[in-house]
Amino acid sequence: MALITEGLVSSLILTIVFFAIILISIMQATEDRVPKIKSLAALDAIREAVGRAAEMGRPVFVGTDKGGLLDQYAPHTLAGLAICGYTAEICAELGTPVYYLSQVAHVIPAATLTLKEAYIKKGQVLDEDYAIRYVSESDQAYATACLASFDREKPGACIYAGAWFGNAIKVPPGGRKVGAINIGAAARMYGFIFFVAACDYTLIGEELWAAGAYLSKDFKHIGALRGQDILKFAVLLLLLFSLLLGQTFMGALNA
Amino acid sequence: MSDTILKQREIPLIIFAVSVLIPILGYHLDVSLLDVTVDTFVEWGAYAANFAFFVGLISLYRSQMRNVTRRTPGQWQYSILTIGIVSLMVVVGFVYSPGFDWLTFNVFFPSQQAMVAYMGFQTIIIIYIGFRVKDLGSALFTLAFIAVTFTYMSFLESYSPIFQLFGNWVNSVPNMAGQRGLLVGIGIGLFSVVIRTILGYERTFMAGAEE
Repeated sequence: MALITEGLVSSLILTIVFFAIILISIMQATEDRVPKIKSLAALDAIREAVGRAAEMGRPVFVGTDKGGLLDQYAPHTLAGLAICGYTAEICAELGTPVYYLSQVAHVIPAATLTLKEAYIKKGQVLDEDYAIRYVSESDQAYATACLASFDREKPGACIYAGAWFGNAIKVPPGGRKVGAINIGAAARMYGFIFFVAACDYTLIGEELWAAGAYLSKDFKHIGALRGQDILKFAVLLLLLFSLLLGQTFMGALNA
Repeated sequence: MSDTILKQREIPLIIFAVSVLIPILGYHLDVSLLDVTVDTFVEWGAYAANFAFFVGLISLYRSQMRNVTRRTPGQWQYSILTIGIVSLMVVVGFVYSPGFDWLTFNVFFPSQQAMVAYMGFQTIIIIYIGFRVKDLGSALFTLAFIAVTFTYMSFLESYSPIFQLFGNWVNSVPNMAGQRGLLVGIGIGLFSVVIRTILGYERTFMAGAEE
């Protein structure tokens, strides 16, 4: 009996190679040799958006939509929470209230810790009952709650980060309606296409994964991004090689 | 002491690493013990999610009660309504299940459908916001949108097949190439996030744990 499931040998090899390259990149990163990363306008704009909300005396909305921590969208939610935490930190610094609407109950403890920690860093105390609000597991109820809160509380900035699904269509126009700066960040194809159209700034695809490294400026974190770039280059070479090989041998076979 | 052990960040990291690595190994390796472990993990996940529902319920009551006790202007009336409806659903759900079904089919589902219908209007708003020519990027975006929309207008085909051909080309060549390029980046990025989380660099979700 084979140890490796039939048809998954190449997948296992690639998984191990991918893990190894990123691990080596993290281990090789040193404090005096930090790779340069390009600026991400959407993340830079968060401070500006929160500052504007503070000047207007309005709160800031953050949300991660339907992604949980127990499903395949967990990395999206984690990356989204990192952005929510960064936003909360600026809110605590500028004295602007921030609120997080939750669609997934089990994300509440993680979101609470993230926002609480951000406030503690700035020597502030988070009003949990105001800041963390569970709505419902239903998509439609979540969208309704977001739009209703926008209408009543008139946030000055709305940050949508994580695995946004259909609500990426319904919610951002509500933020725009009340004059908020909309910043979207999603790595799901059906999330960010709507953010591109409806938000003022957007993090697309892998930029969401880079957000944690970009915000922390940790050299090990940035080392992992270098590993990602190496892998992308390798995949590109592999594609070109497959293309050439396919063209050459298919031609020979057809002849 | 037990408090210190539970607060250490290594424990959630180990749990995270094990719960990520075992399904990956279970998918690739043909070992029955791994399959059983993966199934158990999935079951545990379902139980944890169900228990977490109570966390959600408590959060909902706390935030709505805050509005009621503080008489938050323009909100406390809605909060009373929310608390009443949620309590009604919970009580009826436990006591009289036909009543729960009636409320679900006659109140909850129609409200949901209204919101789904609203999505159409929001889509139009997004089109209005997004497809305005401000620079080269937005011009290309708008052009692609027009080309693809023309593909779905069957009467245009009777004038010239070029509309159909151009729209299909936009869909299957630049759009597909862009999507695949993004998916490669997203897939590789996922590996990176998982490794960074296992190693403890990405630890926002367990803030408060001792360094």
